[in-house]
Amino acid sequence: MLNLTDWERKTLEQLLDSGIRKSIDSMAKLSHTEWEVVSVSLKDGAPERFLKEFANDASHYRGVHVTTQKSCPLHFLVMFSAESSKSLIKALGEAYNIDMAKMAEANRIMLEEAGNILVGSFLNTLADCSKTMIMAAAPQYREGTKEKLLAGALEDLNKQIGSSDHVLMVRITMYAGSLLADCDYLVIASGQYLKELVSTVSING
Amino acid sequence: MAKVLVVDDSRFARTMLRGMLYKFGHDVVGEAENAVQAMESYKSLRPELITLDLVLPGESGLEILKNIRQDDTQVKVVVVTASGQDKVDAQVMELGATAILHKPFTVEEFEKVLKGALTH
Repeated sequence: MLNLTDWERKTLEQLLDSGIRKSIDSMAKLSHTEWEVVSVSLKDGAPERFLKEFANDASHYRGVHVTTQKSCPLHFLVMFSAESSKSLIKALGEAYNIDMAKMAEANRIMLEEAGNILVGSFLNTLADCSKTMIMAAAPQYREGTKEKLLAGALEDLNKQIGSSDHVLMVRITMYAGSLLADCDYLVIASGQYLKELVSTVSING
Repeated sequence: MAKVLVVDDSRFARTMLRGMLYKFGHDVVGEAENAVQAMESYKSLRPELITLDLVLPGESGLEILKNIRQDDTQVKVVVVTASGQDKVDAQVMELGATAILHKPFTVEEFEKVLKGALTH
């Protein structure tokens, strides 16, 4: 388990909660529809434990993987089922008057933008609370089972931090009733990095 | 009506910005999806206003802004980004951006920032 004091754990939870709220608000503004958080779970430990969570789901998902600069080992995965991504893409097309049927690779283009907005809002909260600058890289489109998508992100994180470091995963499930769309939003990070980040935080609500 | 160059690696964002700019009567003279294209288009098209994303393949939007300002202090540059971080915003303004617009934004918000930038 990641060794955190009560204050550090509470601060981390507040920070994550604030980041999630900002992400949801931005997603609502982007898609012109309300999104709600269905569940949030926070786990730390070995990556195999995280992968187990998705081992029984063989469905094909469309997702976006977003990373940050090397000094901030944070990875984000935003995953949609085929039906959910179709609903979201239709909503975005209507909201911005874009004919998606005429746009090649509409899935990739729209989901990368959605991922960019979701992750950007989350990072803004983290950066401002810790008085740092955290820049995201360009979003990368991915397809496959959730387990496969997560395995890829964990492998990238592992290369960045080394296998001895503790990994922490936040899983947020979101739902937009009017679109009948849900989204699995994962934040995976080095536990040590988050611990260091928390030590610099000031949360103003 | 202003001659506008749109710089963004996201095709969705470029399409959306182009649509809004046309709606407000501006002329999108070019689009660029990376730093090299951005600088080439800026030099050859000489736009009056540039919408500039910060996260781009290759050099970042901050580097592009720096290069543009070394060449021209008058061209209007509106940074359009999902990054709304205090430190990033401060750096963007320090480098000479005319305005910043954070994604996601409404048509009204875009129009207001655009008008402000063009009368700056």
